[in-house]
Formats: sequence, structure tokens, C-alpha cells
Amino acid sequence: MWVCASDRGAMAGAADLERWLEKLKNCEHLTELEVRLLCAKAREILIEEANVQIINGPVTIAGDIHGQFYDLMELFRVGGDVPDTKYLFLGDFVDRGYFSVESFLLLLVLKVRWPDRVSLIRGNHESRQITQVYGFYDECLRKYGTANVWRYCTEVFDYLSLGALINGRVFCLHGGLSPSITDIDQIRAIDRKQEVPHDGAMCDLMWSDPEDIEGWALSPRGAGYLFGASVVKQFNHANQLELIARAHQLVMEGYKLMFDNTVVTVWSAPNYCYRCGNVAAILHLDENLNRNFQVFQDAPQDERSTPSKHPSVEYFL
Amino acid sequence: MSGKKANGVSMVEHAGWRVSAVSQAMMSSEENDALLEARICGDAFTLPGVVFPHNVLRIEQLADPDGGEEQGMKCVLEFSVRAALQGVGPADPKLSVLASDSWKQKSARPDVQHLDTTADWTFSTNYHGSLTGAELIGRSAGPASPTEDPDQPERPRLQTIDLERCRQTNLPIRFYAEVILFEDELDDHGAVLCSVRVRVMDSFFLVLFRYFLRIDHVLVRFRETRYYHVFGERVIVQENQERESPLDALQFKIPGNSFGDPDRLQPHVKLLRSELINWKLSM
Repeated sequence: MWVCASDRGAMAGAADLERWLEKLKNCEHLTELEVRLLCAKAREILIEEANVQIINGPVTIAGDIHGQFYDLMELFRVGGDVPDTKYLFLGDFVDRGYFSVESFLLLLVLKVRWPDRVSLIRGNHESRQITQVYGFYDECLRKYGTANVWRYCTEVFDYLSLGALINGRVFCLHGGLSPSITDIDQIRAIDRKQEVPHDGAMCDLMWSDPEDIEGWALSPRGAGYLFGASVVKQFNHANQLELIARAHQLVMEGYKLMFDNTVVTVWSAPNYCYRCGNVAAILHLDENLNRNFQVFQDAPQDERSTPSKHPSVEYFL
Repeated sequence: MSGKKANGVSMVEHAGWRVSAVSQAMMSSEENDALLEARICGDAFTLPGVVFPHNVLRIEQLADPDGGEEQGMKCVLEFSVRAALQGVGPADPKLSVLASDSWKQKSARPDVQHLDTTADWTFSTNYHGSLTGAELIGRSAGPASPTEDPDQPERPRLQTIDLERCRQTNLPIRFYAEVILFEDELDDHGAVLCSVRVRVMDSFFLVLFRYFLRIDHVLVRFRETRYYHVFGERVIVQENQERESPLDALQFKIPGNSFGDPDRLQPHVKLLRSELINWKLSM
């Protein structure tokens, strides 16, 4: 295959990764070319990963990040740096916050640099359609002038895995269970390398929510499933699980245990959208799966972290 | 004169009125359960994803220190979360998210139930604020905006909001606050934002209470209530407006991505109803 000289000269090597890591830790942009190389490298690694990743504890589980870069740095301060701490991120890296580009690319560099110490699974926001409505697409356009960076990133989204299994006992995913999945092996059979579908098992894993209901229900909004304690009990029994760890829903306290501690929601975006006043949490599981929630607050807000509102807002009519 | 702010509370006293705004953290899981238990939204089994239970905007008349014993009742205008949630009506059965058609067929499984609830999942509230200590002196309703047509013969005596005056951005703002009462992301199918804003100018105050709903690719809805008062006058003007448009029809009219910005969206959304009310102050 013919390779353009400038591309060959810019293959992502270890020195590049270190340089990109330094840049991103300071919330600086990578160039468009650097993003392209990083995303290509990430795809090579992700394509080899199973739909359900096998992870051994100890590991620290993080929930939604939503582009809150400075709070992600806070998360690493609390949970420890990669590679000293092994992390599993449950998706929703982008949208809503001001730094989706930097947050996602930082996680991607860490993944490429230490593939065995960082696991990333896909959230419902890692989708072309959703990112065009909730901020990531606009942020890429604003910061790069073209949609190329958005395109490279969304190509990576298609390769992110759908779940993870820790020590065979803790099943992790972004949203929740699906009525079409009774056995984890059924998830392994999904062809995940596509845009998130509007329905079906892959969609459910990223969108569904636990709720205090009996069995399965359709959300009153007309799309999306809700599942009750009996569903979890059955699923955990059939798959020999003790816990389902998921993210997807904002919790004021940073985490929420449900159904006799068999489901936990982990939320890692403190002061969500820079106004909710919630705390965030990460869940550390040791080698014996003992649980330790580490709760943290948002990074101190300075001018960098929240662009000021246009003054015309105050002259509302 | 300038607003003081501590613990999320900001306050100003001006021209015989006190305006105070409380903006604190969203509800805890415990507060959420307690509000649900109290059936604040009828038989809803969830509240909006983000409720700010302690947030409130309160605008009240101050007693005149030289007024003696014979002063009338003081006027209080308040916007609270509880009242706003209690104002949520029954669901519109015609309304659902875009994906619902395909879901209706696919979810027709024997093991999936349809929840028995009449609660409105969009949390569209009919609340207009809680006004006490003022007497109703006139009300007129019409499809057109009364503020745009102040000379309409059927409502000659009602005072309207002086939009010309409100548009003057060279006038200094003495106090501004925005208080969010509740929000919801409709599980990433859109947005709900219920908030109230106030600005106190040298000679008047303007309040905008707004319920905003966007269901992606489906519809945009505004329910707005404005209160306008010129200091020293005996009248408070209230204007209620309802706006609604299909969302994809708007897509062509609006530059860039304005869909997350209700202020930019609002002028393009069709006015369905408006109502003008005048209240008389007793002091």
C-alpha cells in the first residue's frame, strides 16, 4: 500500500504519546493530524477487545464524565494516576461539558499508552446522532473549524466495547439490562462495530434504567426500558453475578445502591453541567471485590473552566 | 443597592421592594423520595431528573416606615419548586419521543408492561407564580400577543408591558438573578427547563417565569409568564403566553445550533395563546 510520506513520518510512537499526554493533561488541543493518528492507533487496540472485557480486580470504576475535563483531573487526583490505578470508565465521556474533545482524547491517549490499565466502554452519548444534538459536534467545529476531529472520534466510538466483567462476578455496562439478553454470552455475539441502533440489545445496554417496578416496563416517554429488582435477581443468578455496576443516571450523592445492593449507579461528573451541586463518585473494587466508594467534589471553578455568559442574557424580555 | 450573595442567596432592596433569590444544590435521593411520596406530581413515578428543592425567587413589598398603621396588605410574588411541580397537568397521550413508533411494535413483548400512569413525563406546568396581596382588576385573552397590539379595542383599559422600555439595554441593571426550579433531560431525548429570571432596573422590574420543553425532532413548547411593575405605580402587569412548534419545521429557520438555547429559539416558535392580567396593589 502506498503511504503518504508525511503520514509515515508521523506514525504514533512512544515519544508522540508522551507529548500528547503532556498536552492533554494541560487541556491543550492536539492538532487535527495528531487526533487522526491517535484515533487510528486506538482503533487498532479496541478492535482486538471483546464486547465484554474481562478484568481482574483491583480496579476503579468511573461513571459519566461529560466533558468536564477539570473534574476528570480531580477524579485522577482522588483515584490515583494511570498506570498506578487500573480504571474502567463506563462511557459518556462527551457532550454537555465544555471540554469533551480534551476529556475524550486524554482517556484515549491513556488507553493507547497503557491498554491493560484502562478500559473504556461505550455510553449512549458515544454516538453520531446524540453528539450532534448535545454539544460534542459543535465543540469540535468551534475548536477545529471542521468536523474532521468529530468524525475521527465517532469512528473510535464504534469500536468501544459494550461491557466488562470483573473477576467473573461484577458485570459493568453503561445503561442497564435488556429483555433480549438473559445470558452474558448473548452480548458477546453482538456485532458492535456500528452506530448505536435505535432499538435492540445493543441499544438497551446503553439506555435502560433500573426502577422500582415489577419486571420489565416501557418508559412512559415511549422509548427505552425500565427493569425492576426481579429482573436483576434472575440475571445475576443465571450469570453468577453479585453486582451490576452502571452509570447513565445523575445521582446527587455520586452513587446509588438499589435492589439489596445488587445494582449500583456510579456518577463521576461533580456539579454536573456546572450547576447541579451534586458530588461525584468512583467505585474501587479490591482483588476480593470489596467495595469502596470514593466521593469527590468539582474542581475549583476558574475562568478557564466555565466560559462566561453573554451579558445580553440579563436583558431578557 | 448592589445585590448581596452568600450561600446561594442573593438579595436587593430597591424602591420599596425586596427581591431575594435562592439557588442551591439539586435534591438528594432522600428529598426526591419524600417528594414522590407526597405525590407532588400526581401518580408520576419519577420526578424531573434535577429538582432544586430549596430554590425560590421572592419579590415582596416593604412596609413604608412612614406609612403608619393604615397600610394595605403587602404584595408578595413568589416562585417555588413545589408549586411549579404541583402545576404539572395530566400527560398528553399524543406526545412521545421520536423513537416511540418503532418501540411500540418492538416492545410488544408479553414480558414488558406498560406503566399505568397519567402523569405528564414532560412535566409541562401550568404554574404562573404565586401572587398574593394584589387585587385582580382586569383580564383579557386572545390568540395574538397583547403587547404587540396595545391598541386592540377589546382591552382598552389594561396596562401592558412596556417592551420599548424593557428593550433599552443602555439602562443599568440594578439586580439580576436566574433561579432554576427543575430540569430534565428526557433520557437524552430532549430537554426540560423550568426557571425564573428577574431584573430590577431603576424604575421597574421584569420577571420571566418560563417552562421550556424540547423533544428532539418532535416539538418545542414554551409556557411563559411575565410580571412587569413600574415603581411608584399601583399596577402589576402579568402576561401569560403559550408557544409551540414542531421542531423539524424550525430547523430550517434557525442558524447553527440554537436548540440548546431557549432564548434564541423562542422568537421562532408559534404563539398559541396569550393572556393579559392587571393587578392592583393595595399599598
